[in-house]
Amino acid sequence: MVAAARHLPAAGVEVRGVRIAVGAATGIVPGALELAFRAAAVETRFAAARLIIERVAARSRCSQCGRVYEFDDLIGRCPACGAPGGELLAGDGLELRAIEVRDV
Amino acid sequence: MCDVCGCDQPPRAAPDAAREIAVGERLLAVNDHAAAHNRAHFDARGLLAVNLMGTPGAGKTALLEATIRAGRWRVAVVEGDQATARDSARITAAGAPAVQIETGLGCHLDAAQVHDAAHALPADRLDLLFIENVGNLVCPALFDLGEHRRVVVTSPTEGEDKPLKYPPMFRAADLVVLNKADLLPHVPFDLAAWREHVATVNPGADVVLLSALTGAGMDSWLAALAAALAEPRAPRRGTAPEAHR
Repeated sequence: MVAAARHLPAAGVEVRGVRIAVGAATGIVPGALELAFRAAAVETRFAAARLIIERVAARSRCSQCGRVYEFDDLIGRCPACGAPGGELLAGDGLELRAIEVRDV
Repeated sequence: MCDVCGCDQPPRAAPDAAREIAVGERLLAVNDHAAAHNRAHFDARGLLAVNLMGTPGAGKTALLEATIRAGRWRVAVVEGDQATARDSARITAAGAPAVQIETGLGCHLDAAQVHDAAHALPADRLDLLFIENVGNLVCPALFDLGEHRRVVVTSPTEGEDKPLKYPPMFRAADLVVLNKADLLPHVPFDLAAWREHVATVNPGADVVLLSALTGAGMDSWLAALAAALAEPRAPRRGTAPEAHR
């Protein structure tokens, strides 16, 4: 929210939404994030803003067979050879993508 | 009047009245920066930093006491607990400098906390810095502290299925220690199944069985530390996903 506020003009807009991308392998729990956002938004410019969470799939390169695959659980087993984990290529980030505003 | 159902509510804003300010900023990069800074600090002083994680009561502090008493290296410890300085007092009594971090409601250590604590230690005169994380098998796995190695300590009374139930923790480990191995004959713990579960989640992890209490197996643990100390400090690959804060 602090990061988002830095990108807002000082006045003249109403914040309608905050769009963030959450990697599936971050350990971030969307429900908990939503709750924290609501709690932190009280009496700020974000009080009426929606938090829009976009999920980014986790993607790994298999350490055994080299296949690149997406996964949605905590182990991330390669669908081809069954090896777990691999090298994480995507899905470990949290990004503030955009702020939706309305000119007032 | 509302344009949908005719009620008294004000009309909803037309979609075109809203616009987007594109940002594209990585959040939580703060911890990664602090971790990289810590690692550079440790590297510059040639010390090996080990992030020691595991359940409360697995015997993390007991393992550190036994390691310090082995007297092989100059050791210091950053202790993380929700409350009390009991563990840092134990480390000091065992003969090594220690700094206690009380996390309060925090369930893990982060890189900034370790940074502040490390400044209170004689980093120039150390071989090994242990960071004993808050006892917890979930979120400590998600925070890079700037360590070179990650060790998970577990014990037979926790059951053989923990690697399957807490995959990120066991996947993050370079080495998994089964402490309290002296209890193996006395508790229903399927050692073969446990080994298999560790390998399922993390095929590359080394495993050491020991008892910090009796000293059995400590040789293997000290040998693993010696090997890690002898290796060049290659930066860790990006196995630490960002955190939930």
